[in-house]
Amino acid sequence: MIGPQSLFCGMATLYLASGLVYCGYLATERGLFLTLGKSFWGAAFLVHSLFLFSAVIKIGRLPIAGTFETGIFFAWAIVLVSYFSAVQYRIRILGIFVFPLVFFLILVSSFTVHQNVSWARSFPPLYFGLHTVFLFLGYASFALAFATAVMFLVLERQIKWKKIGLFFRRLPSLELLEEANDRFLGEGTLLYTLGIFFGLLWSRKALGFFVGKDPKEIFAFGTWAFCALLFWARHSGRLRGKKGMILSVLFFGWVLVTFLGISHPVVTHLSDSR
Amino acid sequence: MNRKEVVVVGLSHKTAPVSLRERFSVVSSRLPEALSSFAGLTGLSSCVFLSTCNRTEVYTLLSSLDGELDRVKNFFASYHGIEKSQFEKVLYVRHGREGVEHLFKVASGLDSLVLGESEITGQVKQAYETAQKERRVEKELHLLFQRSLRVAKKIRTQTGIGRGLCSVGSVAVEMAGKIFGTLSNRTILVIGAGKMGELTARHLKKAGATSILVSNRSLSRAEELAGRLKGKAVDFDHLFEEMEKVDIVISSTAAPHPVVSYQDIFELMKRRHHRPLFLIDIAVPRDIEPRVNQIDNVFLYDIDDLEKVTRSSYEGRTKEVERGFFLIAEETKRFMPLLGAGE
Repeated sequence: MIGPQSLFCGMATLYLASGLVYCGYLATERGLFLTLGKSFWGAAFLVHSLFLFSAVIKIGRLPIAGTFETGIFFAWAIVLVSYFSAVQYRIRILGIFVFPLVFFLILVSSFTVHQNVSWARSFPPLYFGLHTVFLFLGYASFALAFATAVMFLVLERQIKWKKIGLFFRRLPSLELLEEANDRFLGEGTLLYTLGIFFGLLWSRKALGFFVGKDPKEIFAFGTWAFCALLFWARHSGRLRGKKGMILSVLFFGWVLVTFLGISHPVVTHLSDSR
Repeated sequence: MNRKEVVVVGLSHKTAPVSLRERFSVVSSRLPEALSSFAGLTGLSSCVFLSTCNRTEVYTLLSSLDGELDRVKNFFASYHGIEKSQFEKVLYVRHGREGVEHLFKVASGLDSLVLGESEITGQVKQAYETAQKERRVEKELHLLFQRSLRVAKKIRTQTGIGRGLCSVGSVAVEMAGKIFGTLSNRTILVIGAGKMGELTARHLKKAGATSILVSNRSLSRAEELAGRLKGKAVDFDHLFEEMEKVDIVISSTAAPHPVVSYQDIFELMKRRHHRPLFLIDIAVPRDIEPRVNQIDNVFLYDIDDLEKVTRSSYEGRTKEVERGFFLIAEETKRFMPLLGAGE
């Protein structure tokens, strides 16, 4: 039986291999590299899923507690959403732009593991489970919005400044990237809203109040307000093209800061009550 | 150099920026007058004046490069009203075999900004016919221009230089594809009723663009072109209202000053709710102020920018281009004795 540490190492190695092969594709545009990259990416996702499945079997709940678990689960959600998106929008090289983010999350998570991979044993109630699953899927959509925004900015710069480079032939059109970005932002906003809704229900049931003065809650509402505003501005035509994409990138920067920098190091009544 | 030799004096996209080229440009309707001024100012009777978006060249016959060449340079200075010091560095002079080879390359599209493009052959032919009509072509130039058109045809049929991004139109299609994805349901506005604008519009239409509008100061010419493109002529006075609805604008007027300013597009983009706008300015002098490109969601390509794009498409055609150069060297070798010149 393969242990969780072997699965973790295998998953990280396969993601890294796919990233390197994707770079080979970017440099040479040879289809073989793209096929290999996708195969490694798929294999990495499979091992990633096995790793999480083994965790569920072991601890009897979704692995979404603490920085390590959430980081790994977040990375998995991003890859899952990116699969559907790559098929839907036919963005062949979406994986190339998603890879650095996924690998970064795995890397950050791995630093929080001391010696052995261990799972915290506690079972969150239903509302908490729904709250976190929706939040993670929302985060994954925001990550994809970030990836498409970066792709848009790279291509826009090349077209605008007539510096037709590496990505020009490999990227889809600006219009498709903007459409995909809009969609990810919209879906992300919806999922995040559901996540907050179930979070409020859970808070009421577990703690006796809907909203406390917890930094996580304040930043969660801040994130929601940011994404709702961004979504509205994009759809009202006030933020088309480059400006909208830059805000999309900044928004994801905010999400990462609140996710990694604020949510996890801060021990609050929410963390204690789990 | 006692016997008269073919000499070409000019500047092109390879030597001069568009800002200087546009000052040297001569519209086709003024070519007869330019030819007559050339004869009057230089005292040289034989001359073909080739002026396109990418080059202005004079083909003539000189017996001495020392004195007569200066007369040609002085003509450029006085006819275009530009100090000689401002253009002397970018002016090239090719004579004898080099001059012949140069015209063969130009006519074949091998010296073009968009390598391998075919429009230039027609422009060389038109320049030759205009000079012929004005009785400015002596025997040597007759032979040279007729041969250059035959060489151009040979190169087009025997090499693959015409494949890929080898015309303004194909570059426009490629860039529009990168901005809009599909061209179906896209509307194009052609400003000016020139040949280049028409060709570019045809390329975009072939790639799927469904609707074409044509606007020109002369409505009858706009209607004529719109008829050929199966589009619709629109009033030039309502140009910016029409631009609110379109996705791609091709501008190729013969106006001496920009017809579209930064402020025009800045205001227009607000009314368009910042929908992307692709502007192709193939006019020389330019029709659209270059800083329009700084506006978000506006993508402006002038004739020099198109060169940058086509460079990236050379990779796959290097062998064909090399073969084209080889054929030209062979043709030049065969042709030189006809001019009474040796190797």
